[in-house]
Amino acid sequence: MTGSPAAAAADAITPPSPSELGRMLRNRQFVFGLLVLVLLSVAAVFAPYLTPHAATDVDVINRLKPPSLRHWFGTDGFGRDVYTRVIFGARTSMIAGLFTMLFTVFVGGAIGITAGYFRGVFDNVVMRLMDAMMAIPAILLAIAFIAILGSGLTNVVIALSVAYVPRLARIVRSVVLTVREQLYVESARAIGAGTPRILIHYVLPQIVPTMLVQGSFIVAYAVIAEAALSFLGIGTPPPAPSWGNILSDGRSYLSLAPWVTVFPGLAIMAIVLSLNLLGDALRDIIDPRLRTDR
Amino acid sequence: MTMFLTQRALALLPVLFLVIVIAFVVLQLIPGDPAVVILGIEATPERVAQMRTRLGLDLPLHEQFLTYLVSVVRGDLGRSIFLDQAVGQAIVERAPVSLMLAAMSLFWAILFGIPAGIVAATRRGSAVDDFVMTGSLLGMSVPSFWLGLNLILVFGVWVRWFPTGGYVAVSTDLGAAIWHMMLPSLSLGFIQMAQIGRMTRSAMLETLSQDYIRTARAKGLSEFVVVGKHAFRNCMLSIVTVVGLIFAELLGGAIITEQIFSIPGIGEMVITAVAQRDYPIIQGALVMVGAIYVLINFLTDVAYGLIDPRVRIA
Repeated sequence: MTGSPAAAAADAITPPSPSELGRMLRNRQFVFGLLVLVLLSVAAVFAPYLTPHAATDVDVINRLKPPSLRHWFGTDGFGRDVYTRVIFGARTSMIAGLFTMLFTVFVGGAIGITAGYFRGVFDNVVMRLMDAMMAIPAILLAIAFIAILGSGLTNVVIALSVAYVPRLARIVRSVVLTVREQLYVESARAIGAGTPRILIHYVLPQIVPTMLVQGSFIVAYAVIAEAALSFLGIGTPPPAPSWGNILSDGRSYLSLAPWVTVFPGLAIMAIVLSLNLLGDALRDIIDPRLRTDR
Repeated sequence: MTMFLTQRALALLPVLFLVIVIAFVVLQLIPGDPAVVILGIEATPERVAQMRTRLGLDLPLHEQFLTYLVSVVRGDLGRSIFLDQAVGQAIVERAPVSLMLAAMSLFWAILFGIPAGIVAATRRGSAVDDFVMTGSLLGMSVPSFWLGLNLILVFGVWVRWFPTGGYVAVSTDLGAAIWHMMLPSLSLGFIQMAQIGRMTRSAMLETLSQDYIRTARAKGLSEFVVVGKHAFRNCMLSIVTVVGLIFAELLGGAIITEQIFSIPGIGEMVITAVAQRDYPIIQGALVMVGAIYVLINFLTDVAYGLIDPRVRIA
């Protein structure tokens, strides 16, 4: 940790130096995770250009066809191309994961920073509320909010964010509790810096690494949870493809056409694995004391 | 110990109170009139008025909350709209099913997770360690519902070792009950197995680097005694914490697993309630699962006290 407040803040917000970048690129987990994530993101963004079929094209003559050159991942019960639905489903998952993460990081981060910095009654009340929200399993809390808001991707994002905010707020608060006692924060206070300035310039940069690591895990949780909710029939409504509702469709033909469930499942696993690898690698790079492979 | 437990129990009460607040707020957050949302827009004004009275919506907000709080404290979670049954009774009928699923999943997670973590830690850097770490990473990335579908396909449909779904009560036939829960519990417990394995390995590595372990080895104790008696006992606190948290997670995961395997537990009831907009059931499930979580937290604290004398003396 550097001595002056400005330098400390600059440490955390400057882009990684060449040596840090080298350290990241030497980390096999990081590179593998990043590669898989980039591939899936490219597939999601350029989905219409990567398939000659449309995700909702019904072709009953060719229903439940096994994987072939024409249909790489086979077809489902309506004759829809599973490969096309999987890559279009990647969009739904990516949107759910990314927006849940952004919303959670923004709200959970703000709650964690203010509770940890101001302490006192506000901290006590807010964190007890967070504890109570964490007493309810995230998926059940999300289901309760979907019961209120109705299904659909936007509501899934809101419901999942509500479920993950307390978890992130708690982690951020614990980091802020340490940061607020640091000498550079005290010296910033001593030279007359106002609270907003201290929070934004001196506290926030110190929790960015934590939010980055947690952010990657939140995307992973959200991808699985969105798929689970769509699988249960209360997430993304059909016929729009989501990995969860493709799995749900395929369930009826499990023994007849296992390919309908195998490929979306592998896609979920690949993205979650890559995000877990990235999260673990980022944590190792940012704080080697927390290495999981010690 | 009594003092310690009393303090812990009192600390958990506000959490339980706020869980009730959250369940109450759920009904208030419904856009528009909850009575209309439940009954549909074609409902007659009389039926809407009846439903409003039934849900207590005709009272001022603070009275609504006080009435709800007092009812919940008395064990009355309201009445289900579609089951035509007391919510408490509906949950109590289904809770043993969900608890059995969660408990069996936890059993597999502990049975395989802890030994895997210990072996990986004691053979750090070896092929076994790599296998456990890679396996746990893959395990944490597999969606339990997808794993469940694959288990049904392989062990239920292809080799026909286990039933593909359904439920048999323990009181009817213990063997058949366990047999029916095999695939659901394995699919639900797999992720937790991976988590417990990683956690145990990490806690063991931390403990094995301590001075007293070096001393134990230096005085000639066998590796089995050093690891099993000296190191493992000191890892127990971390493992118990994770196991407590995992049990609560399992209750959440059970919601999805119950749907896949057609198990009539709390999860299945909640999903049906969402489709039917049976809000009293959803509120009741939130309170009940929250209360179970608080109870598990308390039992975890009791376990701390039993494992580590410093906790109960402090």
